[in-house]
Order: sequence, then C-alpha cells, then structure tokens
Amino acid sequence: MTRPDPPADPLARLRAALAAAPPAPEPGRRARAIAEALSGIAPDSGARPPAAAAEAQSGGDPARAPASDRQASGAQRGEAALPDPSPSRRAAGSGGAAAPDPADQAGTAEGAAGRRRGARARAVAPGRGGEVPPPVRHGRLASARRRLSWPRGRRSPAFLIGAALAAVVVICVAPILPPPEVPAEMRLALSGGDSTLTPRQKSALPLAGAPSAPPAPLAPLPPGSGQRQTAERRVSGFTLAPQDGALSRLRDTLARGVFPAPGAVPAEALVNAFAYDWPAPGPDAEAPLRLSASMIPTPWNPETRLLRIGIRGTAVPLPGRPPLVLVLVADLGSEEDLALLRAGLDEAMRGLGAQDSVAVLGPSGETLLPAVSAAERGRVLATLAEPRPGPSAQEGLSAGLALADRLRADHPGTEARVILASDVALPRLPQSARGIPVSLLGLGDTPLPDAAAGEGVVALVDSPAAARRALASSLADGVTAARDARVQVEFNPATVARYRYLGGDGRGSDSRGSGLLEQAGGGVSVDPGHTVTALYEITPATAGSGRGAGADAGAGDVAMVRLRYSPAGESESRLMSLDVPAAAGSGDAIALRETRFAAAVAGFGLLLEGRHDLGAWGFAEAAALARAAAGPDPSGRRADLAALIDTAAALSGAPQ
Amino acid sequence: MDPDDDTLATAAREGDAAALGALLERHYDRMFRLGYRILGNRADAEDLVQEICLALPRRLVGYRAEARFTTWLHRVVLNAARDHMRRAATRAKASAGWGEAEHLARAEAEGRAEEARWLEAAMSALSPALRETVALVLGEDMTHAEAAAALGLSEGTVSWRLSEVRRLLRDLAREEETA
Repeated sequence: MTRPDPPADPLARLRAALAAAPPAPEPGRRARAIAEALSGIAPDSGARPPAAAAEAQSGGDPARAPASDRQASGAQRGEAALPDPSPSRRAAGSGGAAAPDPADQAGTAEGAAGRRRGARARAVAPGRGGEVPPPVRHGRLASARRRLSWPRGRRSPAFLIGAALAAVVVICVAPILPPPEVPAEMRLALSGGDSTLTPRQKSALPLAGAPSAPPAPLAPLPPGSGQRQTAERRVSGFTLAPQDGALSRLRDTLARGVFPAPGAVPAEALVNAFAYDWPAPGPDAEAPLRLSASMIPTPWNPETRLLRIGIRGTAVPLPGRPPLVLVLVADLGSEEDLALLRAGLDEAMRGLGAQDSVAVLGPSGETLLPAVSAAERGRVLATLAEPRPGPSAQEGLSAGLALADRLRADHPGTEARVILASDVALPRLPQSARGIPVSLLGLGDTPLPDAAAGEGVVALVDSPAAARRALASSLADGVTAARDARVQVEFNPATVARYRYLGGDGRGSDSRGSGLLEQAGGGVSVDPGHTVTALYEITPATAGSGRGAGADAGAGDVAMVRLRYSPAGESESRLMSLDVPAAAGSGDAIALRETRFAAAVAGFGLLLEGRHDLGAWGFAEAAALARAAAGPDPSGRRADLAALIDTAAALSGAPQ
Repeated sequence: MDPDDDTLATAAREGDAAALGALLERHYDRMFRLGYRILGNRADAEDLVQEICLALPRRLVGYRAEARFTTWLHRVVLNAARDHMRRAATRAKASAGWGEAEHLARAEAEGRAEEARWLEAAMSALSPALRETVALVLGEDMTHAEAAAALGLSEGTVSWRLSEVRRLLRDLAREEETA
C-alpha cells in the first residue's frame, strides 16, 4: 500500500485518528435526551413538568423552559436550513431513514414513559408545519435497517473507489519494486499470477544451502499462500497472547446471514478461541509452561503434514506466599456453566497447596462444603456437580464475605478471597469488602452489573480458557504462569522443504519470530491455564515426487521449538526447547484428537478467507472433522463450531 | 462561577432538575464521544447516550462522590456500551466491526479518508475491552491511572492493554504492507 509517512508509533496514529472520528452530536437529539432525563425527576422537585420538551415545542409556556425550548427549536431550524453534511448517510438509509428529526425519539426510549413521551412529541411535531423534514426513526430498529440496507455497514461507494484506486496503485507499483527487498511470497502475491512466478521464484531462491532439497520437484507456491521455503527462512514465530472474541465475532456475523469478509476472522484467533487439552506441566515440574507437539497428515493435502505446537501454562505455588482462604459462592443453573467453572477451578487450584483452604457456598449462603484443604481438589470439584441457581446471589455474596472474614480472623496470617460465579445474575459488588478481594464471574451470557459502585473485579467467562484465566488470576492476584514468553520454531531444511503458518492471513503473521528470542521484553505474559496452539503445514523435503500421504520424511528432526520465558517472581529468563521428531504422529491419543480438532478449526479459518488451495476439502469436510474430533466437549462449544461451519457452508453456497 | 460536578450531582440526586440539566449539558458531548469511539456508529452512540440520560436520575442515587464525577460517568457509559454490544450481539443485529458509511463519507469530505479507513480497520481489529481502553486513554486523553479507575482495573492492566493494542496495530501494519 502507499502510505507516505507511516508514523513510528501506531498509538499516536490511533490517537490522532480517534480525535477526528466522532461527529458532533445531533443538537436536536441532545436537547431531547436531556429534556427526557429532566422529566424523570421533575415531578418531585416541581422544577419542570414531565413532558417538558414536548410542550415547549408545541409552544406551550416557553417561559418555564427557556433553555430546552431554545435549543430544540434552534436545532430544528439549523437542521432544516443546512444541507445534510453526509450524503452517504442518505444513500445508506435507502429506506428513507436518513434525515435527522429531533422531534422523533420514540424508537429508543426504554421505558413506557419514554415511549409515551415520544409518542406525544410525534403527535405534536406535524403541527410545526412543512419545515419539518419527514419523520425518521432513530431507534435501534432503524439503525439496524440502515445497516442492513448496506450489508457491510461500512463499504460505501467511496470505500470501493478507494479500494479500487489502491489496487491500481499496487498493480502499478509492483513491477518497479526493487527485488532484493521484497520476500518471495510477497512478490508472488503482488504480481498475482503464477505462470510468470515459478521461474522468477526459482531464480530468486538459491537453494544451494539446502542439503537435500532439490529445487526441481518443488511445486510452484500458490500466490499468497504464506508458504516459506525452509532453505530461505527456517525460523518462524507466533504470538502467545490470548486472542479473544474471534468466535463470537464470527457467530454474530454468520447469525446476520453474512459470510465474513476475508481476514475478518483470522484462523490463528479462531484456533486459539478453543482451549485444548495439551499435556500440562506435571505436578512437580519445575517449569510453569509445557511445550508439546504432534504431527498429523494434513486433512486437505496428502502431500503435506500438519505440525501442531501446543503450549500450556499452569499455576505454580509461589514460595513464601501466605496461606490463602478461598470462599467460592456458586450460583449456577446450567450443567455447561458448571463444567466451565470446574475446568477453571481444576486448573487454578493447582497453584494452591495443603496450607490453603477452600469453602463452597450456595447462592443463598448455604454451606455446600465447609473449609477444607485445597489439596482436596476432587472434593471441591465434586461439590460443584449439580446446578443450584438461586433467586439472587446477593445473600450468598454477603455470607461468603462474612465467612472469609471469619476464617481470616481464625487463622491469623492468612489471606482471603471471595469468588462468586453466577450464570443467572451477578449481584452488586459490595460497598466494602473489608479488604478481601472479590471477583464476580459472569458465566455464559450473564449481564454484568454496574461496576461503578463497590469494590472488586467483574469478569465475563464464556470459554474454558477464559474460566481458567479468570479463576487463576483471581486466586493468585494477577500472578502469571510466566512473563515475557516468546516462542520460535526452527525448521530443519533437511527434512522440511516448505512450511506455512496457518495463522492470520497466511501472509507473514509468523514473522514475529525472527530475533524475538534474543531480545528481552518482546514477549507476553502467559496466564495459568492458558493454552496456545499453533499449526504449521509442512511439505516434507522428500515429498512432491509422487509419494503420498504418510510418506516418511526421513530420519532426523522436523523442527526445534524454543520457548523463552521468565518464571513468575523471577527476573532471569529461561529457555526450554523441544525437538520434534519426524515420527511425532504416534503416542498420545488425546493430543492427536485435539490436534485433529485444531486442524478442523484452522481449515475452516482458511476456507473463510476464501483460500482455494485446500483442494476438494471444503466446509462439509471441516464440519465432519470437527464433529469427529470434538472429544468430550463439556461446554458444547465444539458442537457449536460444527454448526457454525454448516451455516458458513450454506452462506457460501458450497454444497454441503 | 459554575458549580462543580460534585455539587451538581449531589443536587441532582436530591431531585434538582436544574442541576441535572446543567450536568447533562456539560457532559452530553463527552458521553457521546466516548460512546461513539467504543461503538463506532453514530446512531448507536446517540441511542446509547439517550438511554443513559433517561436512566441517569435513577443511577445518580448510587453516586457517592468518592470518585470524580467524570470517572463515575465514564463507568456508566462503559457499562451501558457493554450492555448495548451484548444486546446487539444476542439480537444478531450488531455489526462486529467499528465504523459506518457516514464516518467514511465525512472523513472523505475532510480529506482524511485514508486515516479513517485505517481507523476502522484498526478499531475493528480490537476486542471490546481494548476498544474501551483506547477510547479512554487515546480518545479522552486520560492517564493510565484515570482510565484504570474508570474501567475498574489496575493501572498495570491498562498499560498492558495499550501495549497489546500497539502490538496488534503493528501486526496490522505489517499485513497492510504485505497486502
């Protein structure tokens, strides 16, 4: 793209762009909203009767509401006189819903009172005569209609023209780009056709350094596929940061009946929207993280294999930490949410020891489990076996706080925590928690309370990964499993001819790797219980000459994975590494199943991007694989994914 | 001299309509701006602020003058915006992205279409939590500590979120260059 001066700091650029973004609020709506708010308290004070603005607009008693009347009518005059500064808004609202009309508010007022007032205002408006623009709805329905009439909401003609211009610029610029500075795959993407590419790519990639990778059998790289020649660059990296929201964004988009735009849902984020059962660090392991890897045949290509790298963090008992008393208040009405909570707790409690204790209360404060040693994890989890929703968890919270306070007083030197989990409705945060940290976890779709009042933390938990993170950080006060974690994969050119990271857009999302391992501070914190999953599609160096699936890549390792991190509470970094042997496809059945599921998710992600290099493998195959490899799936999220794949298939018009 | 926010809020809580009116006049634009920067859509932002205005007399009862009024108000807007997004999501009507046709058209008229497009891509790439943080720190020019107070988070979390935003934007820029 041609951006003349990319600012050094993206945050500065964002600040500037954000400063310019908001339009001035519509004066009419502003006056109306304020008038309506005033009418909410006016009857008591006698300062202003409820239908203040409506009456003021009808000309009744201007002396009693000079300000709002002036504002409202001034606004109307202004709107009537000025041309609409945003032509595309009219265009977007092709249903005739663009001109602002301060008199019509009915669409959005929440309560019946608001609706009544709105209706009155509308009844009054026509009396103002012909100068009033045609009535327009500003309600949610209307905004939805506006949005729907322009399917993507932000693809205006201007945008399309801009995109076309940009494409022209790219096409013009591509041939004059100096070759040495442009990586091979970028050139492939820029020049956009593969007939001219193969020779150029061959000449650009001296393969002399590759011990056993003759260039001849290499198939041409599909443009933009993100493939890398191992001989050219053997090191790759990926992010360890949690990537939330991809799945819900995708669900929303599909629910609107829209096939997501390419790149809207990065495969990397989609894969990591699921928590996988990768091997966890053992109970007496020194490291808080564990690396694992396995290989499976690529579902969509018999010539390649999928390398899965998994990282899982665990909570580690911190030396010298005071004993902890945890009071858990459970107000859960569904099995799925119980399973979420159990999964999170199971992981988080690994950070606790025999000196810590846990008690469980029900929604009304009834004791489900008196304080027991945190070493009895099974007993605690068994208490959370059946749903017990209450009418309100407020009592449970008060009882929990009282119990935590008592336990803390009984055992001097201990710290106390209260965690309340609800899938019904979260109570309000207590005004004073007596210095006891309180976490309110809303499971599933639970509305979060107004965090304005009270002490504590409120978190929404809608996935096993989120449950693990929320619980572990509630327990350990934000202590992470490891800080500044960075990962790097080095492929062996002797066994791997090409690889590609099944990530964001296949165009270089894996470029974070180079040099990252050496420089401190470039990594991210890994929370206890967090899993990170990365998939690479690799082409064995000996494949491509007619040998099909399962072709043995030969002896020797495929790759070496290095993970550098600083353990919580230590400043010095440590390095752990894992050799991935060519035969990493055997052994752990659970890991293989999980890898297959991850492959289904990644493949789905690639299909969403409209990639055509998956051959005949399509949505139906992705859904089938997702169902076959879902495993126990206590939260039902994996079954959901299969359903989403079906929806996407229907929307894409592909045969099921 | 104008009375300060706390005086007005306290009076408004007691049912003084004039005080509430003054308070809303003073802060309406701020609420709208914040709502817009989080939701990325004018109609939604206006709906949002209207709802907040309607509910404010009731909410003021919970205002304790312990935090600064604007901090409290920011929290109210943030919570309302979260509710708004959640409701929109369950009704399957919300666009997941940030931005709208009107925004681009306006930007085009002002000769900053490129930045506007970049902004839409950038904001769409951010999770709601990051968007909120960005709207407060970059949009409202708050310090990390002020934003932390409004978000009910620790200052460290806000700083971490911003570094996360920086990382995401760098990635975006890299993809853009490669595109």
